Amino acid sequence: VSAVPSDAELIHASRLEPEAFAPVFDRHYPAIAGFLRRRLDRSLADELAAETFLRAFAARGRYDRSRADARPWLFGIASHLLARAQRSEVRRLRALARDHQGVVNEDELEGIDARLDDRDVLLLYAWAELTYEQIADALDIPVGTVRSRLSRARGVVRQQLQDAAVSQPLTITRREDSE
Amino acid sequence: VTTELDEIRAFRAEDAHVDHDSQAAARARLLTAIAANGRRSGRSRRPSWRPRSRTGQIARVIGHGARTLPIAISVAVVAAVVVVGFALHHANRGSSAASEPGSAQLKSILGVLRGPQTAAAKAFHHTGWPEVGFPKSYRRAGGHLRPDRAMIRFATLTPWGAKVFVVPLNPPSNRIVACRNGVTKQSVAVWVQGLGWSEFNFAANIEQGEAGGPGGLIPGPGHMYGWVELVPDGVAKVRFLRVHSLPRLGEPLKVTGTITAVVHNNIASFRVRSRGVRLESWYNAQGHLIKHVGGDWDMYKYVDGRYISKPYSSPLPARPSAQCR
Repeated sequence: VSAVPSDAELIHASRLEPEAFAPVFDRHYPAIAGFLRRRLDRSLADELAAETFLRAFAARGRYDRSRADARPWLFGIASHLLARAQRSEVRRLRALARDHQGVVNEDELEGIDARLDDRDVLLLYAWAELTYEQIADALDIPVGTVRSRLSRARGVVRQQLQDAAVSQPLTITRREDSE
Repeated sequence: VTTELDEIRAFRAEDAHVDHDSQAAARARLLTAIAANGRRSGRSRRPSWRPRSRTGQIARVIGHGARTLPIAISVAVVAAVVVVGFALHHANRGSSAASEPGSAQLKSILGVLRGPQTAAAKAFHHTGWPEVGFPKSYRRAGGHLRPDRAMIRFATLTPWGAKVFVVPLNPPSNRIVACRNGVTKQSVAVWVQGLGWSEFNFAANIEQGEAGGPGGLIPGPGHMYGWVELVPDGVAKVRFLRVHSLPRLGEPLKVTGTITAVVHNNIASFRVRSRGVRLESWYNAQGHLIKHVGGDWDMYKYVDGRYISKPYSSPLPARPSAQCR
């Protein structure tokens, strides 16, 4: 028996003793915040990272105790917040495209929504180092879907690398860079 | 060999570094939320001399933790609502319903129903029913006529000391049954101690003087017949004409006796030593004739100073109306 309590034990204990949730934050905040910082600008990433743990704390009563590692759960919350932020960003860009023809090419925005799903899987695999099963758990999708999305995303990256067109691979750029 | 995954892993790796200040800021936000959660759940590390509340005990028994407290309260509230609703449902079964069709009409013509309900009337369903039971005609009329308990009223005492109750009857709750039997509105019956039930009558029956009864041999010594009648508001006296036989059409009526009953709470009652044909007239409080009405065994209509026979008007309901189909 390990002397160090698992994430599940801490989260379960936090239902009666909320302070028990703090070690969960200390364990995983760097990974969550680092993941978000690689995808967003720093201020927004920090905001979403803090929001991730606040939401996790609020939802701790629904945590599945059979999952000892809380990382998939936390990355799932972070991905949900990230996707919401990205959707609002896309909406903002679409509005900009309508109002200022030529500034932003709306055609380029068409494929963003579809690529977002593939990119989430790819980056959870490459950056967060989650397994297929953990990604499926985090995004609440079947493992087979994880495999197909990852394969598709890797194919796109591979092709772009081969073409040496690394300037816009999967639009992994800073927000200020895309404006 | 460098794969595309290696390229991705290396991409912006330096951005993944999290500085201490941002982590401290995020931690502070979380601890604030934790502290607020602790306050909301009523947790206190200080021992309290106060006894733990019953609600808190229930919450702990049900599921431990602050989150279960609102759930426990919700469950308790829902349970209370269900119990109260269940009790009210059973208390009101077959009893008062302000929207009961025909109820307002009965109240408008019977002042006794507009008065307060006495304790005796409240307890009537415990005393009246077992004594005589329901008439067969009530069962014929759909079999589901049930007293409107909240509307039962003690009316008066007869000259021979019997209690008289006015009992509104609700139509069958089954709309199809009610329509098939033509009992879609509330009716009213009279129950007399020792004599039992009258027929049930609708408001129109009462206004036409057809709400007579019950009548019969009064229990006890003396061998006398009693008669009770339900009359509408405005009728202060009922004059009963006793005749041995009704005249042929065009011949004078041979009255052998007259009895005047004072109406109290819509009830007129009298007693006689022998049975016979009766005819009656209604008078208001000033003594003015309101109208002549028929008797109890046969119905006659008083027209132009003469009584003429008319088809017996049954107090049983008319045929179902087109609205019921």
